[in-house]
Amino acid sequence: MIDFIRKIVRNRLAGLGLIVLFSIFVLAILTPLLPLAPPNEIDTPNRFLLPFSDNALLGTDHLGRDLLSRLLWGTQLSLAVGFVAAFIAGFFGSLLGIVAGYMGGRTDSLIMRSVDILMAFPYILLALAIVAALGPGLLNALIAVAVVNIPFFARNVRGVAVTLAQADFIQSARLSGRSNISILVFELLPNVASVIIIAFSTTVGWMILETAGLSFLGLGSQPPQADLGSMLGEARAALITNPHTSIIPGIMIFLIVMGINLLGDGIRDALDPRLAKGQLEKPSPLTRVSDSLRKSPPIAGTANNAVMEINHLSTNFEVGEVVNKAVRDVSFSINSGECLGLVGESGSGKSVTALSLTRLVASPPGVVVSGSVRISDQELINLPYESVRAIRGRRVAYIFQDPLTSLHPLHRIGQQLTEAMSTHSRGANSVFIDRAKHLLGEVRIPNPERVMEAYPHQLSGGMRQRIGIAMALANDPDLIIADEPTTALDVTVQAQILAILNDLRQQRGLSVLFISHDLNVMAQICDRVAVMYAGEIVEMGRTLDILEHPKHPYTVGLLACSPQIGQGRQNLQPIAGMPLAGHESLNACAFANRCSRVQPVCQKQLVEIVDMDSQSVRCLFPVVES
Amino acid sequence: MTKQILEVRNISKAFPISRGWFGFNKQQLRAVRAISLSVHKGQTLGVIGESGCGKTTLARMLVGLQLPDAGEIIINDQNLQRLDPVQRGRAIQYVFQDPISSLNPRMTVGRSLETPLRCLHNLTSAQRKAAIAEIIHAVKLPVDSLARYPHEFSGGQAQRISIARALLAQSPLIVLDEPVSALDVSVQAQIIELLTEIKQEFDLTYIFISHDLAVIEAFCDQVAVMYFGEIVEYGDCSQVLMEPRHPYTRLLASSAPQIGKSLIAESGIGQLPDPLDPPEGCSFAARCPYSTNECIQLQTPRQMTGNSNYVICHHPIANQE
Repeated sequence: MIDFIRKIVRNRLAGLGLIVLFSIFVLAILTPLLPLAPPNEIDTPNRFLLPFSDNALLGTDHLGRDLLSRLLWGTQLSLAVGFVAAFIAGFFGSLLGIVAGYMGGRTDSLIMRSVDILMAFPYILLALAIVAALGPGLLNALIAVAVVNIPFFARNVRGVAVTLAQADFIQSARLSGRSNISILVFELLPNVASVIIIAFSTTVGWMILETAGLSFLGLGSQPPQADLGSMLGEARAALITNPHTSIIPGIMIFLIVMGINLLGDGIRDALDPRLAKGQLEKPSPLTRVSDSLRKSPPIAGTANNAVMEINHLSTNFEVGEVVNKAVRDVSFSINSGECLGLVGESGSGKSVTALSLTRLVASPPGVVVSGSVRISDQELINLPYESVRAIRGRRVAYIFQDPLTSLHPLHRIGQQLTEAMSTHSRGANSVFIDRAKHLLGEVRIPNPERVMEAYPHQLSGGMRQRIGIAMALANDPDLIIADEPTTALDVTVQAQILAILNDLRQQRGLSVLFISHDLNVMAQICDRVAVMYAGEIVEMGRTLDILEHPKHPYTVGLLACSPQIGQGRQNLQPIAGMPLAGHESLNACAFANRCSRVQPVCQKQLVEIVDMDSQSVRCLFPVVES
Repeated sequence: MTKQILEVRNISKAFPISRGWFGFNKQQLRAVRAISLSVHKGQTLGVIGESGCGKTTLARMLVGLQLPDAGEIIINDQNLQRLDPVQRGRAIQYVFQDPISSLNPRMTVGRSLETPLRCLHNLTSAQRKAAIAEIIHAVKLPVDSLARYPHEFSGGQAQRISIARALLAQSPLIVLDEPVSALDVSVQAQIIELLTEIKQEFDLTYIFISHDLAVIEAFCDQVAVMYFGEIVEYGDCSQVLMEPRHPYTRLLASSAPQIGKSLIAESGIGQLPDPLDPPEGCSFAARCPYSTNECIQLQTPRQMTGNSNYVICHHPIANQE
């Protein structure tokens, strides 16, 4: 709870709202105990006393009643009515919403259509109609305001409940024998509670205003009883001559509603961190480079034949004080016409490495803290945005896991392909269209003309990935980075995509950086493989060497636990333990805690990667076959 | 042969889809068509197929999360449709693909695990504690897990929790729907090892659904190959996968990447037929290199290829022996 308040107060304005509202509440609660004049005692001779007069701190109204006393009693009443109305609306609205969302089908239609009908009436007119039907009076105004706000809660809650009702955990609760009511109360309600609280905190302010509005029109609290609305209403006639009588309740309404709204924003931010200000901020188009790296002298390249050379690259994720080292001191190079595989499990840093190459890691929180990335002798790490942009897509192109997320859903395939080309080179549109068709043919799409006219969602996963490859080829790049390009695909489609990539490599002499978690897939396409673990490359070498004679215990373990087809029923040998978390600093071998060959010395020192036969291995006790 | 624990007789499922203005144009989307299966006690039946083949719909019907349009599911001589939810939960359980989302994010693991004991078995608090302690030990979770929330766990640990919950329901039959697909290979092997251990310890029968041929081969006794809502080949797991008789099974086997063997990719696009307008004859005919006119026009016969092995094909690939 204290933690929650701290979260709210982190938003300064919300903290202000909390203080204002808290003070008003304390005043309202203490009102009966304060030495105030009776609020309804008429004293006509002393009417319209100005504020700070004797015996009347805030002056008196048109009947000579003490304004301070009326203000505090009125505030108490207005707050009570507003909150009670909000509770009623929140309770019934949420109940309707949660039942409609969970039950679905007819129940849902029936409830939500009724709610829609309620919403079809203009808001205040509906409230007026209800009061007109029930007769004026504070209780009836309260009912009217509550009823008018039910749809707001119902719709908000129903929207969340509908998606939650399909969630796996609701289904598993059903399989665990819970009844519908028990699921609604124990499983669903705690998960929609935050939505209800957010809706409540943002509507209670309106409800106080609406109640005041009805009282202002004389339909709410009846004289002589004071609430903020009726105080305003009664002061209306003297607005010009004695403005303080209306300004004082006006300020109070303003403070209450402002306090509630500011606090409501804070509560919303604290409960739903995605909506918090600053989180929606657009990440910078270029990964930040740490100051020390920017100032340090460039690292010289060594490889001659390399399309891309990476030396000592390290990328961190920095959130406040927490530094997560995603990529630690990674070096490799890709030769012309070569396919290098980057293999590792989730969190091993393979994707962050790939994104760091053209500085695509989202910043914040990503920061490149060391290293150099050279593409044909051009250093990328220190380039300004415009130059990096000219390289992305043109010289280094990406293929992602599911092109559905990287293709624009509202543009036709042909349009997107030609746009990819026209960004980097000039020419007539008809030339681009011809080239696009040719590219689609190259990725074995049977009917390029028709596919050019299609939208991404109309194509199957395999077809979309072919488009993804065609897009990557559009500008004839020096290097293609394929990040798990077949992971989302079925095996038969995966085989096709791998065959297409292999053919393109032969025909075009493509250089590819191929990222995958699957050693079996690597074996199909890569010339060399680098195995990553906990942000480091632990073993690198020719694919067959690595797969047939792995030297690092992690590679050995990875191979032993991936099932192979054609081996019949087998027991897999899992690697015990969990990978290192990224924020742990490294002063030992990263794999030591899971390694079966671990020696005391492994826990005591960092391990360098060293050449061994034709491979490089980061291990003090590599596996050597006898 | 051991006792038959599950029998599925001709179950089908189609989902109504509304199209056009106001949804007047109602069509049926075929998910599962006339599937029959049987599983014997203590066995593991693998169900393999690609996305859209209806394997998850089949699984959800087996545990009663979806009702079949036609056909019957018999568990231990009882018709599933006639059981109430509590009896059903005691008869068969389900483990989801995504372990984290199958646990209530606002509930401690301990409370999630209590649910089946409380609702299915009406155990007292002390009995529940004892049962949970035993199972937590069996699935090798740290004892302090009970007080924590699902998001504090890694995928592998969360899958252990889901498995623990299925075990606590004390049903002899568990449907595992892609239980390791969302996990890394090293963790995948840990979970498969765990599943093998608890199968022995608690005398379980599994239905293991996966798209991964290698995992199915390593783990299952029998396999049913699904294509477009139907079982196209069934039989002893290693026999079926090593010597496939159905052209589709062979395509699957040759498409799975293997170290030291180059892939044979299917030519053409390889799309499934339109599920709103399924073909009359064999649904694989359009992709099949052996298809003839009779494949397209006639209903496909079931041909026995071994003791209980069968293939649904006009022209099964000849036995290599």
